[in-house]
Amino acid sequence: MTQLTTRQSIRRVGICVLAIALSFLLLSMMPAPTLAQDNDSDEFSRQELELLALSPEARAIANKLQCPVCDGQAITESNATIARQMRVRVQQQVDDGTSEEEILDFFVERFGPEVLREPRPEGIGWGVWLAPPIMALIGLLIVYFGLRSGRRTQSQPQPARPVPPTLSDDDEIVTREIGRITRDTN
Amino acid sequence: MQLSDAGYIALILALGAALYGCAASALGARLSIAPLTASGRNAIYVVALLLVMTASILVYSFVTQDFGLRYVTLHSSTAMPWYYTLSAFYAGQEGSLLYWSTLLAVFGSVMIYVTRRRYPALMGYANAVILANLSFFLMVLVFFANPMARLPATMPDGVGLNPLLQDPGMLVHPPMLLAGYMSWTLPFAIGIAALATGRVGVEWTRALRTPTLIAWSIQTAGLILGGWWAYHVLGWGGYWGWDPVENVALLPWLTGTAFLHSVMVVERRGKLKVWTLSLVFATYLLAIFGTFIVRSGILSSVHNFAESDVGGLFLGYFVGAMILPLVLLFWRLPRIRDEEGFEAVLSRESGFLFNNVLLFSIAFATFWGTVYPMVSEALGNQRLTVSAPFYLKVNGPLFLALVLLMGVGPLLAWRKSTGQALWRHLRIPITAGVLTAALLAPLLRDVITPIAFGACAFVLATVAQEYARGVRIRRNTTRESYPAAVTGLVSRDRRRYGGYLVHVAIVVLGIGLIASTAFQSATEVNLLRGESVTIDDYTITYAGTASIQEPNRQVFSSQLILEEDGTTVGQLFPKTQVYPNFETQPTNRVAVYSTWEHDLYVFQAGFDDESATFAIFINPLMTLVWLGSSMIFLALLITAWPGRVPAVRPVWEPVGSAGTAAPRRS
Repeated sequence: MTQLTTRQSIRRVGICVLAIALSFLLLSMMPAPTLAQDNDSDEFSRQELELLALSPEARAIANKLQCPVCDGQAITESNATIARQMRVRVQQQVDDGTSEEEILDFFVERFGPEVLREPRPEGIGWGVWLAPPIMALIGLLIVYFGLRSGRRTQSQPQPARPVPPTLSDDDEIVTREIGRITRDTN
Repeated sequence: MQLSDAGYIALILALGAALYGCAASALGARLSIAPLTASGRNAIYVVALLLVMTASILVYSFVTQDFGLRYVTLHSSTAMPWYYTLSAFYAGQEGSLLYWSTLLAVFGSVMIYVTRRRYPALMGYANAVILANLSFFLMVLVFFANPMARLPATMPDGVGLNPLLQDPGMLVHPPMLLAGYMSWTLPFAIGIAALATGRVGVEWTRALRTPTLIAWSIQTAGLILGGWWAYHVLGWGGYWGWDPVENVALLPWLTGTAFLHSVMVVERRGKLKVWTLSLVFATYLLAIFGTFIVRSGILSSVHNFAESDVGGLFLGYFVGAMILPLVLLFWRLPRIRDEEGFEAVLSRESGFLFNNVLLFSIAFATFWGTVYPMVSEALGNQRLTVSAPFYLKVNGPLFLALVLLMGVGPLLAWRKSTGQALWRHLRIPITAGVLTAALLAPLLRDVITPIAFGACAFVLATVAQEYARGVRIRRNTTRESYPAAVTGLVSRDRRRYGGYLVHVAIVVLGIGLIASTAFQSATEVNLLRGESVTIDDYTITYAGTASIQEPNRQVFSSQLILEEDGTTVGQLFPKTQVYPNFETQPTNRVAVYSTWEHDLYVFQAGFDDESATFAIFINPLMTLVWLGSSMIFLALLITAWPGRVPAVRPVWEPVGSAGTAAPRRS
């Protein structure tokens, strides 16, 4: 094998450093901030905005609720009006001392079970929870018993096989042809 | 005649050439008629040329703002800056399909051209498969989703681009992901060719190596760029939401990763051929599934931009693409079935098998969660939502097991590993892992995260030990300097030592993922002008919100003064953007202050005359997420750096009455 001189290795390291720098450049496309004075728009009243600030407990519960009108976002992740209203509702109920289970039930009653971001393990909801571990278990069992049975056949005395474990295509053809010719001539 | 009509004619010609080339290649390969195979090769070059021409015409129409063209009118407007005008190319279904086909024709042509002499028999069939795929996409383009369709009259201005797409991240993420989906076609074509020719020795794995590494890199880049975009735009403080479209993009990545590992067992031991080929086929099918899902609107997701009516066609194609490999696999089963089992439960082979089981289980759980809402609706008439909390609970432990395996696998010997030998190699890594977990446990006040970080340390220690061992052995004989020994070691076995570096990159990424998921803190606060909020060591003062009218949008930007321990360290400008024609879909641009320990991430949730509401997140170790992602590509570069090309072996004709048992070749 070819030996690398120190100089060559330095050059290679250089290429690598260049590659890192390039990938960083790609990932750092931050926009330049702009600034101006006047302001505009009043979508929400002050009272509503204040209520939008969620306490940590309320946030944890809100994270479990799906925004009904947005595609695949939790109500904490969405700016939609309904999501804001739901957040306000969660905060109010937390402030009133309602338990998490009761708050979730409250929303399930109104929006149906699809408002929960993880289905409850009940009724048809079981299916989503059970299938993945069963599948993983089956996979592991197949592999484990496959490996064990392989070892058992291996440990029995076998006729010596002159064939190396991996044959190239041409080698396979040759082996097959020679075997056929040998059979024919016998 | 308009220029766009020329584009349409080019599409029709491309369809003709693809159909002809598909038939010519397949027949040429089957009947060993070399000129026919060569003609089929020329056909794919022609298709590529025609598609590049059509794509150029579409780009030209966008640049010259030809609002007589339906696609241009629906996806761009005069007010858009030029770079978003260009990205409008893939904003709709017609454009994305054209982009997909053009890339496939170009990538396919390059692969066929480069390898036509090295793997003549394989490439005849591979070309036929690629052209069959192209024929389908071209048929959809010509008959159902024509990007060159004209409007009855020329419009004064266009509708504009979906606001979510008007972001720097979106300039690169969708084309990268579509390219990732597209690129799995090439390994699929080679897999089919291997079965069709019956050349199922080692040749196909060698032909597959570069295409799969390229496909894997593009798919990885697409996923990472998607996360980067979500992080900076969606504003919920994260980068991966286990959204259906994200999930289907992860599926081919998972099966592709499984393939990259199991193919080593095929090369080294000539085993697992059926399984490995199945992974190649599954990856392609999942890529088609991904392309189809993004374009179909079946699943609800933040990433769906174009809804379509070609769903049925895709379903038909999908089923066809599933049956063909199954039939071929069944037909060739006697030739590719493993003749003997494995020697031991504890071996490198079993390591790869368990890796495959874990990746497959993650893929299954992800797929199951993604389609379950449809299943429950069909079976129980009950709509359900399966989202992030489910995936964290189900996939989290599987990923942890995968990380642990990453630390053990490289230490297992091929064929048979003894417990004692494994333990000898595992002593140092296990100590490193346990120490890390024990040291972090009191700090983190948690059970799972110290274990997860311990697993990461375990993998890093394994890789460091492997490198140290390799360098020590090398220096014993060569007496090189340390840097020379390291580079020499890597260039001797790029796949092994480059692969370890990919593992390191994945672990660095993993540390960032664990930290930023488990230790994210969120505060939502409403501030009056001049009011401040204190979070950890930071004090954030709200100065006010400004409205700026830009040519293509209105921007509402808040100014926040950021102080750390009493000294001003910077200003943050979270923004809300409103686009004409899309007033109900305001988009956001979060402001991020990054340090090595964490990101301070500010999202503007709402504002009025005197106050504004912000969601402020502290995301620990986010830098590692992006650093690890970059490192993956560096490591891939080292792994896939072109080395020696294996010498061309002479093509033998079998001795004796030729052609009875041997496959024909061109």
